[in-house]
Amino acid sequence: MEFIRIITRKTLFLAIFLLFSFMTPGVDAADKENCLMCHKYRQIGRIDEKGRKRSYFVNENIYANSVHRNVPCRDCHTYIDKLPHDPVTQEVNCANECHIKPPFSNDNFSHKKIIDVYNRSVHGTQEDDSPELKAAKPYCKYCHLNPIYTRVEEQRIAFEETLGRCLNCHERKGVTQAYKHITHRLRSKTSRSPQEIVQLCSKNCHADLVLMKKLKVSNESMEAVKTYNESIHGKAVGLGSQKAADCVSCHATSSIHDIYKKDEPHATVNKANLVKTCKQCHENVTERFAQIDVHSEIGPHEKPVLYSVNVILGFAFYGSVFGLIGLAMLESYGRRKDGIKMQILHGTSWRGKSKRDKSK
Amino acid sequence: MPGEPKRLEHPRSVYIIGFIFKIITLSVLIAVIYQITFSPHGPAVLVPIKEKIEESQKSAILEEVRQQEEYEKHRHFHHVVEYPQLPENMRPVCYICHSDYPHSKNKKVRAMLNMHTQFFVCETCHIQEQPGISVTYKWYNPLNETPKGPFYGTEYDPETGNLIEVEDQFSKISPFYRTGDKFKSAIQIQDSALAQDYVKVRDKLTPEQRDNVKKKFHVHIKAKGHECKVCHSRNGILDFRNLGFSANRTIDLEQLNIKGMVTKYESFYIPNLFSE
Amino acid sequence: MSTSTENIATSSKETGADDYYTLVEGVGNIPRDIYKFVKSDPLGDLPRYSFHIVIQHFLTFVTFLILAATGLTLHFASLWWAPLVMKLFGGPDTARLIHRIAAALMIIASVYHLITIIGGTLHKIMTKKFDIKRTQIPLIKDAYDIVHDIKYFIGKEEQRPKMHKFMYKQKLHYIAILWGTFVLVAAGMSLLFPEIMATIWPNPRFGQDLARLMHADEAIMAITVIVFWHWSNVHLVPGRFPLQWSFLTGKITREHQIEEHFLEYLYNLNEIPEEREYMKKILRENGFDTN
Repeated sequence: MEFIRIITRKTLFLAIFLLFSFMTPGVDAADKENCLMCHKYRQIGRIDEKGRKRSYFVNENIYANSVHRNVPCRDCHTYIDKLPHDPVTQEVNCANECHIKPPFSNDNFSHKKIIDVYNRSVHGTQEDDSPELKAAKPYCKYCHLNPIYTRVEEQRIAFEETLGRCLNCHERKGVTQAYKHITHRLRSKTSRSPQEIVQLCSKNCHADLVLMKKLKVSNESMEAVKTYNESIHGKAVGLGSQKAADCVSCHATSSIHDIYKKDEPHATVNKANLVKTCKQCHENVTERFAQIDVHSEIGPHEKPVLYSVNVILGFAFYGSVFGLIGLAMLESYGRRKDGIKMQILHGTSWRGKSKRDKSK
Repeated sequence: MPGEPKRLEHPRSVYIIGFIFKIITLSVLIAVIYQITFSPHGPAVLVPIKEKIEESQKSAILEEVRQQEEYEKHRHFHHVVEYPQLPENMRPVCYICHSDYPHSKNKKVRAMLNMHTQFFVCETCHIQEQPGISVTYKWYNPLNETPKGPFYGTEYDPETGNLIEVEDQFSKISPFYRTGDKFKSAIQIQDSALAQDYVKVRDKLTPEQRDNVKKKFHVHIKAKGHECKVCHSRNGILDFRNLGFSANRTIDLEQLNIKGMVTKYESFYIPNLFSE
Repeated sequence: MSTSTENIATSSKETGADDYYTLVEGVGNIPRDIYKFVKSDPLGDLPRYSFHIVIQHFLTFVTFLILAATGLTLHFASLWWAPLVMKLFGGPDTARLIHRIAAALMIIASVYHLITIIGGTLHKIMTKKFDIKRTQIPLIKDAYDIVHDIKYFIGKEEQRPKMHKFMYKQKLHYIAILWGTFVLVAAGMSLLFPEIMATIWPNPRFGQDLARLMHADEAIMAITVIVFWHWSNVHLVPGRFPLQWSFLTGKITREHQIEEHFLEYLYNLNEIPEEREYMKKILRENGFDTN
């Protein structure tokens, strides 16, 4: 009896499913399971037991334009197996394999390789890290919010002509994307603007001096954001330059995630690698050039000579401003007393009588 | 006569040049004053005073809330979109105490119930039916007496299959008492006399007195709202077609679009939805 | 001609405050404050700068403003106004190019100036017209002039000292510009060509830091001095307001010449016959001795 009831119910569902599959417009490929039926509404969410607002909203139009648009929900949210699902306690693991197959490969795609690189870098969690350090280290999602797919308009090269050759053998849709995927990454080191990179590294992390102090970073690292922003690279980037160096220009290779402390031999900012690192932008780089301070802090302890030069120049600055203004004001005072007039139109101005007693 | 001055007046163009000089001089003067007083590049003589003023206006709660919102963006991963908010005094009176996320008890459905606050005012589900008074449901917008729509959620975009984007971000389905041809709003809004009076005096009331008043607010409110099927079924209390929902959207809402669940999940349940 | 010039120069004592009248042969006894009675054309009456100097000043003036605007914006990048101004220049990458072009122009103007000055001086020495008192070279007299001028300003003396074509303020300023241009060009070169500089400096780390420091600090000092001192002295103080036209016309007004460059005016009287006639007329009209 129970068995029959289940069969009936399943048949009923199947019938409704078939009926609506013709009536409703095509549902996005990534959402075959129709998770967006609930999650597309912006008020889905709650205030959790700790008093934090949790939003479970996924904007369907934005998601359809993000790089993950073809990834089914459950490829990342693997722990969901029924509906409505239980409260989620598990984090998404970006090293999961998803059901996307990269070109010329039968393996499922995964971010595992880059995560391995990342885990070896200074930001990867190590066993001997202090609990504070473990908590403070960024995780994938901290830096990568679901990125919007950037459509790159290729202008430097004859895009259509080049692509035209590919189309002799390949389907347009797939190869256009693959082609853009590659050429986009040939242009610059990251898809993000230098401004976004600097903002990402500074805000809530490297610029948070309270946090940095808690993590016991070196003095140099404490000052790193400040000294960068005062350097020519930082100023130019701060004002919108797309050419000047940002954090990862110097601190990582093309894999971006391999950031190391400078005494590690693989660090791009290790003494042995500096010439190569600077050479990415500067021509004719020599060992001597690499000695130039990039995060230059001119303080009384670090660079006493330069610091005193700076202080002396400061005094000269205020001295000249106030001294010279004073002299000019004294001069005006004296000449006005002797009878000079402020004239706007007329050329000559000694029209008045002197206010001084003149014995002559 | 040679040597005699030609004229004694400046050419008029002097004003243009002089004006430019003056502007630059003035701006450099302001810059120097700024350099001395507030600029991080100079001695910053007035910065301690500024910091003192800012210190006195700081709120630990406010900072914590803002920081948590920032972290939530990273936890959520999917894009957090800022939607326009009603001005504080225009919100229905419930929001003085309850937020946009009022449900928290039933673990299975609390998020889904909260999801409905995008479409309903509280009373739509929580109103206490009174004998002899008929209730109808219409779109209600605090900023617009006769909202015309289109309303969010009523139609699909034929190209993408997503719900259409709309201008009207504030309209919600709301109950009205109907007498003949006249409709009277069944909800408490903030400019109702009782609500305004409460906001005015609530700081002066003792906790007990406040509790009494709150009870009064909830006289026509029932704690447990409608079941799903009260609306999500044929001949439910909401006339979707009449409220402006398109034909296929109405069918989806009456039946709920369940095809994904049927095929993909090992076990599934939506409480009391289809069982009779 | 040259003998009479020397006569005039020596006939006026260079320090004393009592010599109210200056006797100029063929003109008369000129009182020190005759500038209060003369008439002047605002565009200028008497020659002061050659055509070359006007061009050089104009080039320096325009490039200086461009350099200051682009450079300051980059230097104060963290302040709220910087991004707005930077947008006007088309972003930092364009602004850098503008800054470099302007710098090149300014260097050209400076070299042009050096050529004119050195060439002109050599020419004057060869034709025996060179007179150190009519140049920017600082003399002991300038120190005395400062003291007397300040005494006049505070009312302790009746008249301003008699000064040459370039008074103490101008000489000070000229030296400041020579020094400033040298520092800014040298430091700027270091910032523009760090690779080459790294091979020249004994300690590239120190050298580059020094160049960064000096370029910025010196530039800011130059800007404030130009705006608050040069401009206010030249265009904003009473008598010069609203504008002195010398930088465009190359001429100085009679009134100004007599007031601040009295000794140079005596040269003018000697070199320009019309000026002698005019001065005679003024003296006669105001009841002073003429001859």
